[in-house]
Amino acid sequence: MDESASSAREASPTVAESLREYGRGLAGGLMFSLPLLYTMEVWWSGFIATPERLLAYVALVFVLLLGYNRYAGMHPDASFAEVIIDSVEEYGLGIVTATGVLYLLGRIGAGESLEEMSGKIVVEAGIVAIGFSVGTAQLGSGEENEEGESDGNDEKSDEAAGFGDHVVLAACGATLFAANVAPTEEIVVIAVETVPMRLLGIAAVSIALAALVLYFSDFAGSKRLPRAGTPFDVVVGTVVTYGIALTISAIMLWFFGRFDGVSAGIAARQVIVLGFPSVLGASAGRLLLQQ
Amino acid sequence: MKAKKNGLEWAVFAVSLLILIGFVGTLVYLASTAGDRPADLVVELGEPQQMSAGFAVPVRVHNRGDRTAEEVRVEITLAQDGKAAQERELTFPFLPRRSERDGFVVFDRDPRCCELSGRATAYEEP
Repeated sequence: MDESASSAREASPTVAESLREYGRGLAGGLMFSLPLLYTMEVWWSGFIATPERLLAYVALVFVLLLGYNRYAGMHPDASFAEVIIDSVEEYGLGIVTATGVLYLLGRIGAGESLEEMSGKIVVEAGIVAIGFSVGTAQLGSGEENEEGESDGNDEKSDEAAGFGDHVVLAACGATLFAANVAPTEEIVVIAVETVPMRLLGIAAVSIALAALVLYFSDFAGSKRLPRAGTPFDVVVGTVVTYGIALTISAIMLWFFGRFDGVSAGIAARQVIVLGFPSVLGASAGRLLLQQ
Repeated sequence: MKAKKNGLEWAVFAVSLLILIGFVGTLVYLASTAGDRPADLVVELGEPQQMSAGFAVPVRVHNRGDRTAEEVRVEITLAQDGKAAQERELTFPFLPRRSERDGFVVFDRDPRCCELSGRATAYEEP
C-alpha cells in the first residue's frame, strides 16, 4: 500500500494530495488579497480602468505567475509547458475565488454591466492568483514538499547567483506588498502633502531597509541571494532591488489611474511613497516567497 | 518529476483555461467595442409608494455613455400646473459606464396629483 502510494506520487499526485495543494493555495490567495477585496478603491478601479488597461494588467499578472512558478513554484523541475499549465490553473482558481468573495461581500450583483463586473473581478483576481501560487508552494509543511525542497535547495545554491531569478521574485514580492496600498487615496495624500526633505528620507529609509534585509540581518533565505562578496555586490544588489520596487510601484500606480492628470513631479512623489512598502516586498517579501 | 497530473488537476486546468479565455475574450470584446463618449445619463422614475415619511419615488439612473461619472447629482421636480412645487436631490457616488444605480426620493404630498420629472444636473469625471 505504502509503496504503491509513493510510486503513485512519482507518477501523479493522488486526489487527496491535489486537494491539499488547492487548500494551501486558497489560504495563500486569500491571505495576500483580503485587504484588497475589502478596499473600495479597488472595486472602483475595476470599472474606472479601461478594458485595454485591464488587459495589460492580466498580461502582467500572468507574466509574474509564470516567473514565480518557474523560479520558486511548487515544482522546481517543471518544464515550460508545466509552468504555463500551473499558471493558468492558478489564475483560473484566483478568478473563481475572487468572484466568490466579492459575491459574499455583496460587491457583485444586479444593475451592474458585464464590464463593471468583469473589471472588478479581474483586478481582484490578479493578486488572489499570485497569492494562490505562493500559498501552494510555500505554506506546505508536508513530506511531498520536503523532497522537492531539498532537491530545490541543491539546485538553487547552484542557481543562486541567477539574476533573472532575483528580479522575478523581487517583482512578485513587491507586487504583493504594493498592491495592498497602491489603490488607496492615502498614497496621493502623502505624496502631495509631504515636504521634499521627508520624501528623500523615505527613499533613504527604503534603500537602507533593502540592504539591511538582504545582506545584513541573516534573513531566512538570504543565503540564496546573488553573491554578496564585496561591498560592490551589496550596493548593486540593493540598487537593483530598489529599482525593481520603484518600477513595480510605477506600474501599479499607472494601473490604478494615479498618474492620470497629475504633473510629473506628483507622479514621481507617489512612486517614492509607494516605493517604501514595495521595497519591503522586494526584499523581505521576496525572501519569504522562496523559503 | 511531478509532471503527471491526475484527473482532478486536469479538470481544474480545463475549467481554469476556459474561465481565463472567457475573461480575456470579454475584455478584448469590450476594448474593441468601447467608444469614448462622455457619460450619458438617463433618469427613469418608478411608481410612487406611500411610506410613513411620505411618498417614496424610485429613481433609476442609467449611464449609457462610455465613461464613468462620479458624484452624480439627480434632481427630481414635482410640478403642478407647470410650476415647480417641490424639488428633491439625490447623489450617486459612482455611475460606471453602461450601468445603472437605484435610489429613492421622498415627497410630502402624493406625486400622482402632479407632474414628476427627473434629470441629472451635474457629475464629475473620475
